[in-house]
Amino acid sequence: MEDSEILELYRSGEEQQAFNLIMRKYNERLYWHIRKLVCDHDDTNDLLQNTFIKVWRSLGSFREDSRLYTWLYRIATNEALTFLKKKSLKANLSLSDYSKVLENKIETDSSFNGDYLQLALQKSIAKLPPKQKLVFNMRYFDEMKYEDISEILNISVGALKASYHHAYNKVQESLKQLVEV
Amino acid sequence: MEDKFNNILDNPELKKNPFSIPDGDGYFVKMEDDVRSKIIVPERHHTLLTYLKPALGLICSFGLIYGVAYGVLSMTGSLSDETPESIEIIENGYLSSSFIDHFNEDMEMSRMEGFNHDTDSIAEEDIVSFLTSELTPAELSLIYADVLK
Repeated sequence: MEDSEILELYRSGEEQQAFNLIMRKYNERLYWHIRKLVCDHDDTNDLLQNTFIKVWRSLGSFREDSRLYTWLYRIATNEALTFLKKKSLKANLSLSDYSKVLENKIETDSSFNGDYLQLALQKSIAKLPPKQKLVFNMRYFDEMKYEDISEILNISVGALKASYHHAYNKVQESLKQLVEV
Repeated sequence: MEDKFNNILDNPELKKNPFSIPDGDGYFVKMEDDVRSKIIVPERHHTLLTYLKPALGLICSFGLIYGVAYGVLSMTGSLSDETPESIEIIENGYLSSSFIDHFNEDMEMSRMEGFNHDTDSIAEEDIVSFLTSELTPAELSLIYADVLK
């Protein structure tokens, strides 16, 4: 079902049904979007639930200035970034120092099924600042268009391209070092 | 070797997701149920009590406030048995007694003020006639003997 049809259903009074359709359509994509940022299943579960609760509360005031898909991603992204900030503050660490905590999480994650190269890639991505990590994940793994990423993160396409370029080079450099060792 | 590292991110294998979801395929169904349980408010059954509750609450609040106020006034002694009627009786009593007292005092004062030793002296004949009418001859003789001494 198209997003516009779901929204039409919501406006016709079938709010619960429309919301169920949104969850079914986007739960997996949003789950992985959050999980790639916070690197932990339990944290991802909490953040995903909070995201959908916020979606339910705000759906009535959604004006379609942006597309439903980018609006959902924006809510999930904000939830994840706020969570990371809170976590780093709680641990009395800067966000860049907190990335080391995330690297360790990946190494000890029992749900990681990849090979050595994939592990090295994930550790290299974990080293990136949160916003560069976001851009890299959305472009490299999800192959999103720059225009969509721009709508989600509210950053110009030019700035996004530069950010992705930086992130790409950093990951490649880090990956090289890890593979050489 | 250099080219291999430069193109390492172009490896399609690296784009595959190496993570899995610990709870398996059932995770998303459970997650959706959890979300629904958090957002759906259970429907309320409207009974007579549902409608009366606000009014009862209001009455109880007034009762409580009155009770507290009465308790505080009783403890501070602001409340007493003096009803308006009893206060009136006391005031009237005070007024009447004080009026009589003042009246009597005024009478005494005017009597004292009206008495003039120089002008209002009693004549000797009046004294003699009063004594002869009021006393016996024996008593009179005793008084007479005292006067002669």
